[in-house]
Amino acid sequence: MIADATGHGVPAALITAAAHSCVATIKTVYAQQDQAPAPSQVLRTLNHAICASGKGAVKMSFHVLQINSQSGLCRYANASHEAPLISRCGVDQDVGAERERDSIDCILQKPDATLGLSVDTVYADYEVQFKRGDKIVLYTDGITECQNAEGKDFGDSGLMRIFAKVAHYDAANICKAIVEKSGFLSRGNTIS
Amino acid sequence: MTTDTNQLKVHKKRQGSQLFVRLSGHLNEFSKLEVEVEPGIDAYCFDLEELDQINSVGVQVWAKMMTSIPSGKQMEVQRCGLRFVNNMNLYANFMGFHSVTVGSFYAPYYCEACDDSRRILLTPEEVRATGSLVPPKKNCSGCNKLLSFDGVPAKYFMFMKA
Repeated sequence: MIADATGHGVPAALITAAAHSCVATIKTVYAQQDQAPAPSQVLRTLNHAICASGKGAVKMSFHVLQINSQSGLCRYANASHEAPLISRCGVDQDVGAERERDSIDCILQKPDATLGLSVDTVYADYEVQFKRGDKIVLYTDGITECQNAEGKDFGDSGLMRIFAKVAHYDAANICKAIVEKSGFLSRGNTIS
Repeated sequence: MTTDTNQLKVHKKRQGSQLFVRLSGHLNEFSKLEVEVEPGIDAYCFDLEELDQINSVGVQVWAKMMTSIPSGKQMEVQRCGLRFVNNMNLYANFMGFHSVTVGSFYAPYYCEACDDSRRILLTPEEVRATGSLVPPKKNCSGCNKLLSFDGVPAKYFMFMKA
């Protein structure tokens, strides 16, 4: 899961806390059952919590993915969040080999409405098949809106370019490379 | 208190029944964005060339302004920047309840030879003319070599899908 509340400060922090608490409850409830909830069901439940907490003033984008580690099938639902990037590993390609820029794609469907807009919002589930060696990056606009010294956005383009270069790394090092190249830390941000 | 050094400026010009609105600066939590909603205005045209940034609060400010305009008006946006296009693709309510014509928009290209990014102004018509929403071929303004599209076309052109 990945999420991003609108705005900054206390209102955004409170909504984030409400969402966090709701996710913890969903995990607890479904841990006692055989089957995980559909991603759309997770969003529907969260949407009710955010509508009640935010009262329309604060909203939240949210993306839920469930990956079956045996079959590689991924189910997902998206409430107006940036589409995750995927680097496809070629059929005969070594997982550890460098990849081309055009190996990068998006896990893409037209997003449903942001959380907190209306309790009546309907969320849809979609599926995508992952293969051995595929890598995905979940991110927020906190990365793509970083600017370099000349005021140029890192942007989707910068993110895709660096992801293509480091997609053969392990997860921690992919994350590290993206954060370093984006200039995120130079703005006084920290990673927690 | 934090402020924005490049606050939103709203330039309006009425011509007959049309209201032209040019936005410049940053659209964010410090922005005030209202347009006249009065009898006699049938069409609204927004020039977004100089709208440099929109953050998540700016998205809400924009959507609220769009919702304040009564339905049934002709709505057009021109010269939309990359972030604006991204928001059109992300937020179902970004244009309120209006059917908005996108007159033109910028798209991200990249020149391998110059190792630099380029923003190219496109129209939906020239993208549709490719047959399947693929980026039109463009050349670098610096070296004249063929540019590569610097994004995922299916994502960037999603706002053009019915």
